[in-house]
Amino acid sequence: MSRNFLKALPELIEAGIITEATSESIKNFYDQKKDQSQSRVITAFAILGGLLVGMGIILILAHNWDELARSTKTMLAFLPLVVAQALGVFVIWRKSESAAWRESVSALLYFAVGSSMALVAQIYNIPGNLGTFLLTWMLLCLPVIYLLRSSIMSLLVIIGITVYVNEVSYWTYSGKEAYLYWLVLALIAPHYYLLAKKNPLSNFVVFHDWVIALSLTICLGSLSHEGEEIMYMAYLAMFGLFVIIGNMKLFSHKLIINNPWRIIGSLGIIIMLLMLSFEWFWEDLMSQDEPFTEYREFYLYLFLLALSAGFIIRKAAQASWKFNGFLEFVPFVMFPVFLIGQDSVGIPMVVVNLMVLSIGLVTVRNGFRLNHLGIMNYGFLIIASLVVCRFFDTDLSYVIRGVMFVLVGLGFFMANYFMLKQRKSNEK
Amino acid sequence: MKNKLLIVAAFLLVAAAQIYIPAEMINSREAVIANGKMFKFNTQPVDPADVLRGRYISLYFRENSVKLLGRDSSYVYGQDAFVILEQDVDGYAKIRQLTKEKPTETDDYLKVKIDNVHNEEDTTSISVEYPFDRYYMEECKAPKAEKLYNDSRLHSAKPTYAIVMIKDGEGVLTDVMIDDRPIRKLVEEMTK
Repeated sequence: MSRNFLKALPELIEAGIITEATSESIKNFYDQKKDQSQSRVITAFAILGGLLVGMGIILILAHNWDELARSTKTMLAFLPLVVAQALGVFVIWRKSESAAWRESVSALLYFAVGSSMALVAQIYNIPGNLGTFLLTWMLLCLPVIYLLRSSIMSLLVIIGITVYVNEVSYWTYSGKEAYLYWLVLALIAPHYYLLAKKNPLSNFVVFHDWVIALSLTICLGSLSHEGEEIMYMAYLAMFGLFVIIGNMKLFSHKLIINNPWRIIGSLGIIIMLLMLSFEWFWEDLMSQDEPFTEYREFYLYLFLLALSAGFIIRKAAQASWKFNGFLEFVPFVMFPVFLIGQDSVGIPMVVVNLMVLSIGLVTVRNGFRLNHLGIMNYGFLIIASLVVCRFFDTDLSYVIRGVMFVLVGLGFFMANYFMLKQRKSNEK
Repeated sequence: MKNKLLIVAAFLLVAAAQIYIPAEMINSREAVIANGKMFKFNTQPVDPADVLRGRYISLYFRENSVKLLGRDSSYVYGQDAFVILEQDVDGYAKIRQLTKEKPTETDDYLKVKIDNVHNEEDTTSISVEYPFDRYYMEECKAPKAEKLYNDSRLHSAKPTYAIVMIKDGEGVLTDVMIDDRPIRKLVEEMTK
């Protein structure tokens, strides 16, 4: 477009619409823009060229790796790290205002720290311990988050420490708790807080929300000791807390895809309730010899409930507060149900099934009210999931189960049909 | 300006820590290689599917268990322990004794992890995990090395062993030998 516009300039001068001086200013403006975009293209190609040269050097070295002396291998192992650190000093001194420089050097430094330790382990045939390696790597990179003000480093450290928890608690035969995960997360929290405060609409904030929410979902289970059934309660409380956070003003105005707290929280609650709707869970809970108070998972559940209550009370105290739906209160409603579950199987099962059905029906109704197909169908999906779960664990005849499926399916089709019909008539 | 200097100083401290960790790994192992005693650990046949993971050869050693008299439940999986080593008639490393405490009467000992404890009527068999169970090789050479390693153990009588330097309980694997020749050299000859 700018090229056509520039071609029209002599015509505009002739018609007396702009002066010669104005025409020169316009030409200079577009020339400058062209220079900037050209320099960005050149920078991009320079980075690509540098990457290709670097990869070529690595491949040549890798092919001849066995022929190199141990001392040469050791020097090469340190080279990426030293280069990345030198770039780090350069960025702090001369390019501290450039986010592109800070983030790209941070990413390079992250991988350089890991690769230097891994290469030394290879050179000396050290089998090592993956958990210790990951923890050391993340702890060495953690301070760089604040020194280079890097969000990429923060995200990479959260991902790395999540893998550490998986290795130490889930993938190793004698899994242990990974308490240092929580310390690392607490140390990263100030960076996230400052990022969200300074630039709440930034993509980095959204990435952090997703990565932190998923990391917590994966890692909470590492705190489980001997009360596996009670860990379900803690997870329910955590997902309830996620829904509360997602409904806060800071997040509720965002697009749903940018609000992982709400997505993961509500999905998590539904999935947990569906799992709790099965008989086997309540039978396992009732078969436990010790009362809840003997399990650390119970205190974790209480802690998360207390945190959720604190948030709800704080929100309710504000004049602008409005009711955001039942999901926030599910973990609280389930507290007496879990207590009853220590001595009974039938009552908690019925309560949970009714709860899931209610959530599904309310979601369908909300979808109708808001004229939102997605919400309405999500409600039907919840009800359909409940029906599928009951298909597998009840003694009802196949005829009755078939009728249930038909009813849900019919409801699904008719609701969508009527809503689309209503929309068409509204448009006319 | 002052702020930038402080940040650079803090960054250099962190950079020093990032260099210190791998440097310390190198330092401790170079000391063992330079001043340690050499032991030959005889390897045992392995299932080929398990041997190669990534770019290294997994090593399994013949001398990796000890039989104790009586039932002993004081050793558990994952526990740190020490093996006192000696050489057998063929010159290979042999476990003379297993202890929980660091030996003081000899320098020929290695820190290990308890892998398996099997209690029988009047004996306890304990297998140990050595701190060197893989030999790294270049990616394209590793499969050939794997084949050579397996063939020598499964199909021929060629002695296959690992050279390990030991000092102060630490062991550094420096080479894998087939018929007294380094496996890397044999692989190079295969590829020519």
